[in-house]
Amino acid sequence: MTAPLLELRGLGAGYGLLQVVWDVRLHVLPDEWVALVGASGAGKTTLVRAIAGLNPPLLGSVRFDGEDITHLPAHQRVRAGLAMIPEGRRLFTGMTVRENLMLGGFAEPHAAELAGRLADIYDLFPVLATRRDQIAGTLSGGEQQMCAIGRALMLKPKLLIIDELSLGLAPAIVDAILDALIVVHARGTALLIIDQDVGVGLGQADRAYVMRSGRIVMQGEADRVLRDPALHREYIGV
Amino acid sequence: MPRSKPERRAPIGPLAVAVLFVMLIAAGLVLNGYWQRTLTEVFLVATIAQSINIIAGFTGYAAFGQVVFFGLGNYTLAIAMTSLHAPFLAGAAMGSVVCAGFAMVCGVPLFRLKGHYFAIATLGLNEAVKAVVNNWSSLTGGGSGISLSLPAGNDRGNAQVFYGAFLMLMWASIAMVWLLGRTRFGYACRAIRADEDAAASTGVNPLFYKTGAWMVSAVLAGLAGSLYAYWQSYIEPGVAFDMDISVKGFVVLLLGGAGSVFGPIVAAFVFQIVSTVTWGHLLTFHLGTMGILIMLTVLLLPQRYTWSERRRAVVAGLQSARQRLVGARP
Repeated sequence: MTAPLLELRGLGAGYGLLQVVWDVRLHVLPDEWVALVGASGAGKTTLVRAIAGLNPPLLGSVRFDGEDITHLPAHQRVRAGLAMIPEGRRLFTGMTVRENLMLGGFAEPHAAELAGRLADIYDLFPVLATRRDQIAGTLSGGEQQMCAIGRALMLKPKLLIIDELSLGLAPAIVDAILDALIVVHARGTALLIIDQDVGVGLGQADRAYVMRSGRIVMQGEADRVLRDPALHREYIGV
Repeated sequence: MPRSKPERRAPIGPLAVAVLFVMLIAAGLVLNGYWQRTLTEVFLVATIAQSINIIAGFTGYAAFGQVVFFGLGNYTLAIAMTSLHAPFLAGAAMGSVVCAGFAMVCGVPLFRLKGHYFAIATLGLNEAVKAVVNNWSSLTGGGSGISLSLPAGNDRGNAQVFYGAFLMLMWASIAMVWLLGRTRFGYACRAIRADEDAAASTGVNPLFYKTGAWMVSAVLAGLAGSLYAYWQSYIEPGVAFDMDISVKGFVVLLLGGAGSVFGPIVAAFVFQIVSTVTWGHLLTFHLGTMGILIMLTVLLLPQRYTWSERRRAVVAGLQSARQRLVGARP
């Protein structure tokens, strides 16, 4: 068995004294596509913020690429190859598309290297190239998500985490973004996709985790999780 | 969907900057003492506004107690020149080091706060330093202040030297802000202002850049303070740590547009000259005029950083009003 790229052991996370996520064990292998699904309020966002270093974990440990990063600040995790797109994209809305993408490459000092990566991202999302001088806040929701993904890809991450991929987007746009993610994945970036929409979350994934009330309640191969009647109970509550 | 091109064109061209540069030097040579003094004050206010621009306008942290660095610049220079008999430049350099160091030491704990909490904490910082200066009489002279010996030479010549020195400092502050709009450091600061979590998620170390920006802005405010102390040749805590200086800086910054390079300079001219004229002609209504100017700034220009944003907001408002009028017709 290959060593996991990301591994959470008994992770507890929350805000101040309020613990929201309990005892999470989760791993992502290099080149794997993992889905994390769960109803609203299950603790998914709190969990990924802890993985990204935006909330310090309360308990347990986070290992990434063979290193313990439990207490590493967020900006250093990015440099280590762990990229996260927060819920709601969180673009720099007053800056242009190009400025957003270039800020994504903030930790890469070589201008020539950055120009090449920028061209790759314009290839992946041609619409971003046509809107490169537009203020990011004026993009459509789908374009904003593409810009956020492009920004995260500027550092060639080993693992890309996307929180609420499909939130507020039309199904056709979601399909276009998933097509692009298939290319990203094929080029060797592991993915951890968080979504409320089970279809989006599990469609392309190798494995899946289901969260409820701050705990992982199901896991396994994505196809099997998707067909499992227990999943429907998690969502519908019967 | 219409594409909005961002404005690449600088609001003031290089030619206008060159003209302003020459005109201000010429003005220092020909103006009478009263207007020379007024313009010197304009440069002081402009420098303070640019200092606040760096931390509040670019980085998004409203350091309301920014005057603390002005005061530290005052006192470090005065103590250096009286107790250590240091020359002015050495004293000003010491003031810069003290301000940068103080911003660094205070930045680490204070930058854990955001928004109003940070603003109020910096207010507290100023009050705390003022209280220490007031009570540490053996070093600072306490409430009776410190008198500095006047620079050698005649009054007219000295006035021109201070005019030139404040003018240079203002240009230095403009250059600093201009650079901030074009460098990696500036991009990091703007990213933090836009969204600190997102900035961290792109590899920007927020604490490093916030503290760095505050140190740069503290040095500018400190140099202005050192120069002011030498100019006035007498300092006391109530003047050196006067919150009015912070308030003026913020009003000028908001009037001119936070994050803008030349806006605050133009605003400093308008504000200080309106202030001087009302002082001369409407003595009893002087403070009222200032109050009205501040209220108008806040009411008419809320939450818009730059003039281009303000223009867009006005245009959008007019368009929606027109649509409502047209839509109301049968």
